[in-house]
Amino acid sequence: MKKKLFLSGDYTYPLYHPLKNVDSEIFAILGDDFEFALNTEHFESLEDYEYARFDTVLLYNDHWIDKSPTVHQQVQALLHYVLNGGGLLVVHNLDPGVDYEMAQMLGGALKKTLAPQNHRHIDYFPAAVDHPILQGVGPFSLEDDLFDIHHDRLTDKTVLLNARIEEGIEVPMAWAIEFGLGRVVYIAPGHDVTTFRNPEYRKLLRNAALWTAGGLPGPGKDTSL
Amino acid sequence: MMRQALLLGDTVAPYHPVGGVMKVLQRVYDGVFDITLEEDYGNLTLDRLKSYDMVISYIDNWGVKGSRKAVAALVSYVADGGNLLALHNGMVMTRDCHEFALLLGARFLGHPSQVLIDYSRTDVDHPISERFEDFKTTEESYQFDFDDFTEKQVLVQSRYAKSSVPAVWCHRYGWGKVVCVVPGHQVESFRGPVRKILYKAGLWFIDRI
Repeated sequence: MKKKLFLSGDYTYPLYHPLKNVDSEIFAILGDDFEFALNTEHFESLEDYEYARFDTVLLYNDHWIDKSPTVHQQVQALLHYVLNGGGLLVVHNLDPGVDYEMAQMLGGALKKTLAPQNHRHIDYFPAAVDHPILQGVGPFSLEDDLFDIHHDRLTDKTVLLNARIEEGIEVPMAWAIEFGLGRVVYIAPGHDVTTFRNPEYRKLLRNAALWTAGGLPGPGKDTSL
Repeated sequence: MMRQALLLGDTVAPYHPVGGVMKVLQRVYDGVFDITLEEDYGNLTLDRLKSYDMVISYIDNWGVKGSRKAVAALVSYVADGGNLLALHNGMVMTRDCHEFALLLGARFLGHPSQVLIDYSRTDVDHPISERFEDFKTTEESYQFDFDDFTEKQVLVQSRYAKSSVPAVWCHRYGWGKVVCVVPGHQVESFRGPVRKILYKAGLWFIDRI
């Protein structure tokens, strides 16, 4: 049976990253495993119990700051959902990190996009860890954004992917976090639709979605310490 | 109407038995909170926690009794609008659980032997520390790795030798509130100014100040 996914991104007023066109690639990458139970850019009033029907939530929103001041409801609802066993996959846009509780849960917040922006050549390498998300994923290169990320030192994260920015210097560009009874993954590459057409990236995204939805074995099942 | 508080602690404890502290807290919150002691905190559920207006952590044996389910329930309780008062050793479980460290805004690292510590009010204007009188006492000086993201207000600072460390801080998390009080190694720690901090933290939680 297919797992249920809630996809959100900005169709109407994207700042830099419209979901349009990217959505069809996401449908193709995840369509065999997931039913797209909800696809909306407006989830600021969604309550915690409404999330319970999703196996995972994929956020591609770069308009978060405009929604945040409502009543802090989307933060409470997402914290509640993940802490109680939900899955959260945030792709590219780290904008949810403007709320500090979200930055903590995601493992960091965006400081800035490094120049040159938008189409910088980046080489990505899977980290040397045994993690189900990395099954079958090899190194790949993209024209994408390179983010300067303020990492939360207290969040226990497993780095999955590094970008080599200079000879001998690698920075984390994707990681997995067990948070409460739930699972969180952040994947930095994803600036535009061309990234979503890269075969290695597609494997990474599919595995990450499945892991957050509890569909892959590995860390996160054990409820004892 | 009396409010309900759940005290998490250990009657038989490796370092900090809860018995004496429970009596102190009952006097501090007399007429405001009924206090129930919970020693089986590893089996806490969100449903159970939801019926309390305040949870006080004086947990001393997390390494043996703790569970990921209990951490998830505690953090979710606060995110959903609950109130957490973490006292001294009640903050130490942060070594095992990053979610709890993130909730408190600090990960416990350790402490040297007891030393004479100066406690003084910071410039932050907050009802919890209003009219706080600076004092000195011999206490354990807890060392923390503080989270960069927590939007905390440091209300009382502790100083000894060349070290200066937050001793009381508070913040909102999701829809809830958190107050951390570092001094509390022995019953005597909860006298005078610290006792007033505890009382006012309880009132702040239930919007009475």
